[in-house]
Amino acid sequence: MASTGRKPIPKTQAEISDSLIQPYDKTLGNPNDVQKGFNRAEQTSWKGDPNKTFSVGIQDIDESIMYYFDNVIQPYVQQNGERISVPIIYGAPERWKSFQKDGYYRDKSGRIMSPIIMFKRNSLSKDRSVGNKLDANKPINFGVYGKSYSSMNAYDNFSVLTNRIPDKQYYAVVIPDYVNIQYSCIIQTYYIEQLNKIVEAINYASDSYWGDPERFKFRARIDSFATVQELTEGQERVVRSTFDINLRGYIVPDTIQKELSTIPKFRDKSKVLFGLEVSSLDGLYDGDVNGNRIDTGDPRKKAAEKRIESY
Amino acid sequence: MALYGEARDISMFRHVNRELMGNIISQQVAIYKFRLEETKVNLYGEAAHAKYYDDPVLLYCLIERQNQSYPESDFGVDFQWGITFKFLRDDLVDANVVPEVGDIFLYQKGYYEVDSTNANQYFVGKNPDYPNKGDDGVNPLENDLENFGYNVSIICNTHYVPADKVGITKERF
Repeated sequence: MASTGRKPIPKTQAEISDSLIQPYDKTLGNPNDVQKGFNRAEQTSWKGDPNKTFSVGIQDIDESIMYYFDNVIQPYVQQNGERISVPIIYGAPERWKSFQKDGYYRDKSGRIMSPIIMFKRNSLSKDRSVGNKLDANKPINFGVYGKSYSSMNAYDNFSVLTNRIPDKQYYAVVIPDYVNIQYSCIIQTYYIEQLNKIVEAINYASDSYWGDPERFKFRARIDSFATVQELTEGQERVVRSTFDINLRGYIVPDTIQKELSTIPKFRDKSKVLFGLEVSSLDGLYDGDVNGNRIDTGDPRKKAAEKRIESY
Repeated sequence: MALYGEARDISMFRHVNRELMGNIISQQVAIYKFRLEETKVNLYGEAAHAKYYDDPVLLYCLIERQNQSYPESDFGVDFQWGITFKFLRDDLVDANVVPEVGDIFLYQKGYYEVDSTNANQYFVGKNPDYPNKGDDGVNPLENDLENFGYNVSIICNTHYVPADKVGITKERF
C-alpha cells in the first residue's frame, strides 16, 4: 500500500508561542523570537585549545582526599625500629584487586598488614546555601575566566606599538553544584601508640583545604575520632579509629545539557574606530575637475603660492 | 591402690607416642617464647617498638588445620587461619618449654599466636602431679597416686598473625 504522506510532527511549545505573535512590521519579522536561533558566534572551535571544557567530578573530589593523605599528611608509624608509611586505600575494592594486586599491604599469605587507612564516600548532599545556577537545562548564572595569552594573543608587546588592544578569550563555566560530601575513614594499627600518632596528624590537617594545589582543593572538616580496641578470641587484637570527613565540594558535570545550553568560550569584541580628520587648506577645495574626480595637486604648494601672491 | 596406669604402662605409651610423632608422622613446629625482661611494654600494654624472643625450639607435634577463611570488610579481602598444635607433654618437659597464651609458633613460614592451651588429656583420668597428699605427705585413701596416670599432652589453639607484627623476619621493604 502506498504511503499516505508524512506523519505530522507535533509543534513544540516554542513553535506554538512563536505562531501566536503578530509582528507589527511583517517585513522586519518577529522581534521577539521565542525559539533560540542558531548563532554562529557561539560555535567556537576547541581545535588546538589546550584548555578543555571545565568539569569537576565526584572522582576528582575523591582523588583530592587521596592526594592529601598521600602527599600532605603522609602518615607514618614506627614499627620494629623502622619508619613505615601508612598505605591509604579506598574502601571495598574488587576482590581480585584487593587480594592479588594490592600486595604492598599484605603479607605472604594475603593477610592485611597494619597500619592501614581506609576511606570511602558515604553520602553526598546538596548545599543550597552557597550558589545556584537557577535552571539546570538553561543555566543563566555563569562564572567567566579569561585566558591571558593564546595563539591569537601572543605574549609580546607588539600591540603597544600598533596601538591595538589584544583580543582576549574567555571561558564560561556554569555555577557549580555545591555539595556536602561525607567520607567515613578507618585507621587500623597493631598498637594504640601508633594509632595516636596517626590521629594526631590527621586531626592537625582538619579544617584545611584538601587536594592537589595544581587541581582542586576543598575544605575538609573532621569533628571527632572514635577509638575501638577489641580482643576477640581466635582473632587478632583490633585497634581502630573511625572518623568522618565532612567536605564542602562542588561539581561541574560533563552532561550533554550543560554542553548544549551554555556558551563554553567566547572572545571579547574588537572595535574598528573611524576618526575624523579636518584640514583648513583651501587648496583641497579648488582643484581642477578631471573627469569624475577632482585633481587638487599639492595643496601645500598651492597654499604657499597663494600667500606669496597676497604679498 | 590404683590398678592401671602405672609407670611401666606410661613408659610404653610415651615410647609409642614419640615413635609415632617423631618417626612416622613427623610434623614439626618451632616455638618462640617471649623474653619478658627485654620486651618493653607501654601504658597500653603493648610492645609497639620491638619484641624480643628466645631462640626457637623445634618440636614434633600433631597439627590439626582448620580451613582458611577470607573474611571481607571495607579493607578488602582478608585472610584468617586457625591451627591446633598438639604436643607430647614429655617432649616439652625435655626441651624445657612451656607454651603459653601469646607465644608465637612458626609453621610453614607463617606465624601463629597461641590463643589458648589445654593440658587436660590424662591417661586413666589421673594427673600424677597431684597425688592429693596433705602437709604430712599422706593421702589417707591412696598413698601412691603420684605413680599412676599420665598427663599426655598440651594442645595449643592458635590463629594466624601477620609476619610484620611478630617482627622476627623483615616483611615490609
